[in-house]
Amino acid sequence: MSSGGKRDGIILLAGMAVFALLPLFVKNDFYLDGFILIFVWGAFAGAWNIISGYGGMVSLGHNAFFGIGAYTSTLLFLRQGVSPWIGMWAGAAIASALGIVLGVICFRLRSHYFALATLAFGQVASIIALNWRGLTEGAEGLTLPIRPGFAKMIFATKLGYVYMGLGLLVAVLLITYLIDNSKLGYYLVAFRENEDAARALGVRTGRVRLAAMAISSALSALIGSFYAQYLLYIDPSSVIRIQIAVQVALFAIVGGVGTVFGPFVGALIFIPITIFLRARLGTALPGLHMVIYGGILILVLFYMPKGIYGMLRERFFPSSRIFK
Amino acid sequence: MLEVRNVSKWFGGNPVLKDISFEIHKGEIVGLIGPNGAGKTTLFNVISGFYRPKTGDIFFQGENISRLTPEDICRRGLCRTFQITKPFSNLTVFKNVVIGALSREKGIREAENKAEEILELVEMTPKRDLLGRSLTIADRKRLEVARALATSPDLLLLDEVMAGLNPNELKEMIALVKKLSQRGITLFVIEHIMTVIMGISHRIIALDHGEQICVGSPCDVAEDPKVLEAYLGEDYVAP
Repeated sequence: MSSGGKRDGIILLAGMAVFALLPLFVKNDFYLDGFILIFVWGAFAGAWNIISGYGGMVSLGHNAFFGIGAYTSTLLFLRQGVSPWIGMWAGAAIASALGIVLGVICFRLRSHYFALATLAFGQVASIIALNWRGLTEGAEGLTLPIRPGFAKMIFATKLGYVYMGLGLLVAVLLITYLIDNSKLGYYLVAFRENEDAARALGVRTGRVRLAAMAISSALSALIGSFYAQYLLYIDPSSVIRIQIAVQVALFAIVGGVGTVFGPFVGALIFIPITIFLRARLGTALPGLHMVIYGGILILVLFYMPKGIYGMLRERFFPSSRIFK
Repeated sequence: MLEVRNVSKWFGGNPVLKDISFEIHKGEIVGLIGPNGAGKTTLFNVISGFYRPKTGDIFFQGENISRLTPEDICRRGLCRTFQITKPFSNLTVFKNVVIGALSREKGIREAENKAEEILELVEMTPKRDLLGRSLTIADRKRLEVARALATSPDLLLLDEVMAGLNPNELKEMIALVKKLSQRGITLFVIEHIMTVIMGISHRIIALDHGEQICVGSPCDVAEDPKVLEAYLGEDYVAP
């Protein structure tokens, strides 16, 4: 490994150490909540990035997968007493299957048309969650009993959630890194860059995208399950409304799509801004935080079209094997 | 190696290929000529699986490939380049070629080794780290060939890889095409530059308005009255 590789490795380890150790010294639950949100959204944006960033198929329907994860594990626990550790995998399987169905139907659509179709898909999921009251209790939502226990994936302190969130984030980053270095990653990028050329070179573009969609939707559902366990109360507006899909896309785009760390960087920057603005301005000038948020977004997209991480990487780690 | 049998193709109500039949044998360089709009690229699209023929069949190494997808045809050893070059713009030259190599190689490492080899062969090694979109026309054409070569084709369809090159670049490209032929790759080549195509081809197929007007050796084709008429108009054909 070159000296550049060594440097990158040290930076990565240092970064991981900060996120692993810093929460131990934070005593304030408000800030710990910030860590959890950063990890949840960073991981979710990373999951979204697999099909939408690498594969270029921009989805605005990932709220459905997130919500399916949250509702599946929660309902299995409430109605059947199934541990969320198992229920989350059931959610992942359902989301994955739905993702494949969505792909089979919608992958023939290009760019904006695909995004619109997925937007409709997410909206339908949200409407079903709201109106299938027999299953989801509709807008009243579902409440998980607050009785901590590892088997129930309910932790007594926020630190438990911090570390599980961090674990999910690391898992998503690792999976993304492996994809980036695999045939699947190369093929996704080839499809995104030019479909005809990819097919002429033997890339089975349909199959490749379905695989990416299955992985992306399954991961989204796993994160949704975890998020439900953290909130202990879910309703359509907290886990499946359409804004969730938009937000996850924005984090990834601002951070840098089609990169391993970009989506996480997007969440890392934007979650604190959101929390801070909402806390400071939420009561005095309701809604103003959204205006500032939007302004920052426009500036980033205008001056850094490759995203914040995308730009930093090009400048400081152009050929790094770690910072991809 | 390749047999095209009674192939026709229509766009809406327009016949663009009419009853085309010919064979290409192993080791040959076959030229495909014809005026603009004659159907040359359409024929390539049909053979490589991007279009389905309306009638007729295409056999490659004994197998009927006329209903297969481009990706499956490529994996069987028939690869094509694009007249309007389609580089992966945001990827390096090297990565472009690696993606081609992945169709045959087991892993990334093997594909990278293969790509190194191919870049050496087409003399693009110094440009390996340039992005696809930053290349000149000549290099884009060369990259098209390199990527296609990386899939280890037995039959390679080259769609106007010499168009738009300056005399020096042209000489290099001709040398490359000859080199590929010597390596045992069968070539089917669309080209407009007559001196070039006549010089390198063993046989030539001429199309005009979707019809196959002539097949034969370069000399025969050059003297065929139908070919002269297609290119020059009937006034110029000696009685």
